[in-house]
Amino acid sequence: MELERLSIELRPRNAWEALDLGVRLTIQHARAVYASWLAVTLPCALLIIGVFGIGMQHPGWAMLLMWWLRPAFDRVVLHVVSHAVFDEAPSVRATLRALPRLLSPRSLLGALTLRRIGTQRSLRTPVEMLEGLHGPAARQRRTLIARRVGGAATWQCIAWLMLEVILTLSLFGLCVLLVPREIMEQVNWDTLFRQDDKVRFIGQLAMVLYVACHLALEPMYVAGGFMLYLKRRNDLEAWDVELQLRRIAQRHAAANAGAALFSMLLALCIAMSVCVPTRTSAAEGAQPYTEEAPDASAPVDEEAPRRNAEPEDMARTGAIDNASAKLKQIMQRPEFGKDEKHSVLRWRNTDTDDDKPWNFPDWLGNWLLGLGKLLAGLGKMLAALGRVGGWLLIACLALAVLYVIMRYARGWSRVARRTPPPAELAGFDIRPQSLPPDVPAAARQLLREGRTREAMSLLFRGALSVLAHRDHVPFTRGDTEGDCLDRVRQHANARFVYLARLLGKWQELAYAHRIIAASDVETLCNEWPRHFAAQTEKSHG
Amino acid sequence: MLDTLRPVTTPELIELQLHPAGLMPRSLAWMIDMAVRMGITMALGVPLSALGRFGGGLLLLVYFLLEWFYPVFFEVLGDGATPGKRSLGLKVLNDDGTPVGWGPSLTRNLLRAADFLPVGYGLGIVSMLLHREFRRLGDIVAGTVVVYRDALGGLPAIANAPALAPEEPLDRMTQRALLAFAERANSLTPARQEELADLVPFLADQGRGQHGAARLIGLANYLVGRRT
Amino acid sequence: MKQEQFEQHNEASWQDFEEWLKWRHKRHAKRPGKDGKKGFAKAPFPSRELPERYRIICLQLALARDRDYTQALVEHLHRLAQLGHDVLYGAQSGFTRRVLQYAAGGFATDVRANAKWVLASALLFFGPMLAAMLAVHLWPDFAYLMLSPEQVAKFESMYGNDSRALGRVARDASTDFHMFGFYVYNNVSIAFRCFAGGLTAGVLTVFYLIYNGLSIGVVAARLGEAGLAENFYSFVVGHSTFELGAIVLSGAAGLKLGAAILAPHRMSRGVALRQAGRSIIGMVCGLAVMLFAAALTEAFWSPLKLGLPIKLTVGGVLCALSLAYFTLAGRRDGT
Repeated sequence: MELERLSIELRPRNAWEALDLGVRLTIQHARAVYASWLAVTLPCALLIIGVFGIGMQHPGWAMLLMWWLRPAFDRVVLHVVSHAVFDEAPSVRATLRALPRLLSPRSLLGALTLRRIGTQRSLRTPVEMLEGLHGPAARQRRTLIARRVGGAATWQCIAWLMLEVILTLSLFGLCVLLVPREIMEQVNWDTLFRQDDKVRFIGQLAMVLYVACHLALEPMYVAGGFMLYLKRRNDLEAWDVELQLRRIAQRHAAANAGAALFSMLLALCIAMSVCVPTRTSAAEGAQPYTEEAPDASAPVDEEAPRRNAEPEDMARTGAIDNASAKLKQIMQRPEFGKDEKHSVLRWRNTDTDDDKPWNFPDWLGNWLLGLGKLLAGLGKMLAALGRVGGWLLIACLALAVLYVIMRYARGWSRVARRTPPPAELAGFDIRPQSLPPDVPAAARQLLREGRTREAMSLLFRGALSVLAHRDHVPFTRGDTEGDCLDRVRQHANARFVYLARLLGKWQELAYAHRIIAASDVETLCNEWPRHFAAQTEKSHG
Repeated sequence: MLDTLRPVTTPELIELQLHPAGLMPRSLAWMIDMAVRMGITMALGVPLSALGRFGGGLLLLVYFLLEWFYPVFFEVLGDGATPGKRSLGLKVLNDDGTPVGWGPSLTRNLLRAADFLPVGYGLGIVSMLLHREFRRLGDIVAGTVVVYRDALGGLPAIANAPALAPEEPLDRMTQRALLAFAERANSLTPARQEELADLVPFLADQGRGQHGAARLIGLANYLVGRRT
Repeated sequence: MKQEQFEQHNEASWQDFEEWLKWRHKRHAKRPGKDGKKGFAKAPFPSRELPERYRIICLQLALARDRDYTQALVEHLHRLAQLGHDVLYGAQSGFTRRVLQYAAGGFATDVRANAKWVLASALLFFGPMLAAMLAVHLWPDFAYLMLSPEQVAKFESMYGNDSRALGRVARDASTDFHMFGFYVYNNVSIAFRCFAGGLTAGVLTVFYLIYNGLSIGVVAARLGEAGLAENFYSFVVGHSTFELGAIVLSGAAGLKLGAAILAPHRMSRGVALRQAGRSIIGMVCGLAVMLFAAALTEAFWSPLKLGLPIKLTVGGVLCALSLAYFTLAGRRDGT
């Protein structure tokens, strides 16, 4: 197996994440997975539905049979998915060609009989199918793989079973919604399970929907199990580390050698990678896929012809031939026979209390009966209180509405809402006490002294101060000059035109460094009192 | 490379990895929440139904609150998780990684009604299966994502061994590989350790087998700064 | 700096950070929102230092990644950064104030901002309602298309002159409360579903609106034909503003969601949906409160047997108040 070609990210992940990744993988390769899957299962499903469900009128048998045959069908998905992780999802034709090998009677016999019932099937199938072990070795290997992630496999089995049923019900509900009410009213639900002629179609509908849901969801379940298997293998064998090490080995080889030396090293590398299986224990090894398994369908089989072109062919074949003997030998070692105990915390029992149906213990029942009369009286009292409470709620609501109106309505208690204007605005100190008593006169004085800039600054500062303190324009700290202008437009529109002109001149002077004619400043000074002098306070208060 | 992560960048320009949670744990969490809600309803239902129609009215109110606001309450005030989600190690976050607030939580839970369609969360299930980050419709509209609270759990520390200085400076890729190897070494069998060490004989000083693995761990110990 | 040095150097501050998180979690669990002075003593550093310490952790995470420290250390720092991030950016500020502000004007502003959807929803609701009323008036048997004869009989007995309370066959105090619970449960759920139905590209929302409009119209007209108009309107006039208004608003919300799917303009559907959802979730909460108020009125006020003029006046005042609220409130904020 070439980890380099793996198309899924290898990283430590928890078991749930592995299951999620299975779903993502199925969706990613949906076309290939579902094409192969449906090509095999759809004819079977139609046959079973036709013969048992419709022909023999036993939809239940058909569903049971579909369910029972799952391990066989799952192998098709597993075949596709195990190639898809290498981005080599096989075509339908390739899958069909592999079918005899996948569904060999020998491998299916156990899966469909002894091992059919079991909640960790999704996890065990990859072990059986891809590693091709038999007998006690297989059993040990399965136990090892299931040790940490078996719980997750069980939960995924339960959850998918539940989801299948729920989705079936959902589809059923959709059908019921689409069927006119008149027909539904004639359906007698009690007779649903009694094979009544009138409702037979409902049983058959349920069967078809269930099979449809099964066909849609099963690949994700299988892929989830496969991902769980890969996760466990990665935990046991640190594939991600192996990948990193291989990369630096490759680089090392490329960097350190001349052309001749390079080819030799490559040969060595390949020889080494061929040797790997022989060094590997079946339980823990990186490459348990061996030729010994006739039904192994892992991608490693397809790699064989490619590698055979290499000069180290002989070494490889030899290693492979010895593999089974070596495996058996290794399995005899003491480290594979021992039992290990792991205690794992599970939250299985947390919700049982709530799920139990409510059973009256006798004593409690009697006691409650005695209490009943008391409670009935109490109930009446509380009901009267409830009515009072209702009225109280209405009253509270009315009061709240009144309060909100009082507090926020336009014009009401304006003073209460006001926040004091900031001391500094757009870099200007706008506290009234910082201004001279007669702003225009002071500005003219400055203008005469040739300090145009200060004069303009004073005019603008004075205007903002008056707007903030007298006209209560809601400036906030951090408003820029433009923001100030916007607020003036909203709240004191009459001052807007003048302020805009003033600001324009100020910006020309301060930022564009243009010369402002003294006459312009004079005009602004003259108009200033009209908008901002103290005597206009009354009319705009 | 296929993976299930969602990277988000915080205002501090740090990349955080969110681990979105899929249908499986979420449906189990939903089952637990359902059980809790049923438990509450039943626990209140018995005494309330003794109060006659008044109790019935109260029960309806309780049921209303449980149906629509039980998840909102826990998601906003309970650290992003309902009891069911908490027991499975899940939590709800905004998709930029911030904790979920009232608005998004209300949105995703009121839209449960859409996910429920036609019956039994059919749309929600399909949406979660198809979405890259396993979101249901409510999550898509609210911009939220359900993630694993502590996805990786505790990672193992580097195996302790006498530090060994490398003969020549190691580049980053090599350093990274060595550290990863030493971190995982404790969970590997000796045979597998040797096998991995044999991939890089030039680092292991041509030391084969047990010796090579030990040498790699020693190098890693040197890299993290342990000195003996 | 080697990893071991780095760890030794910073171990204490990481532990402090983790301690602080634990401390906050505990305090939060016991007394949400209150600054407990007792708990304060146990905190390893004052809360105001959090942003700085969090930034330092972020920096250290970046360093650890850059210097290829072990995955365990990187994960540890990643976890700390994530927890700090949650605390820092998850701070809920001024929830009560936000709610009050929204009630005082934000809700009305939202409704006005979505005026075209409200209008469309109102047309889809009131149009069929008026059409049904007209149809029943012209062909009284039209009612039987929507309702079964038993249902018609039930409605007629509910609003009949001999029933002790309006709108209900029998009545006592506990029934009031029961009906209140029922109205809250039923009506609010329907409104929420009407909103959520928008995700079916608006189909379900349109269906809910038209269906509800038709059935209300049929019942109203049928009772009018039967000469029970006075009883009927005396019952519904109190709560109808809130209830019908809320139905229209929930329809508007659903339609807007549906439109985000059908015509997302220049955005992807996901983004369009998210924007639409964000812009209307407040409105949906507001309409839920409206329906709650409607349920209160319907359960406790509407069944009272008072003179029609009183009922009409109260209904009129409520209607005028609501209209004033939706047209005037929140204009000052200029948002």
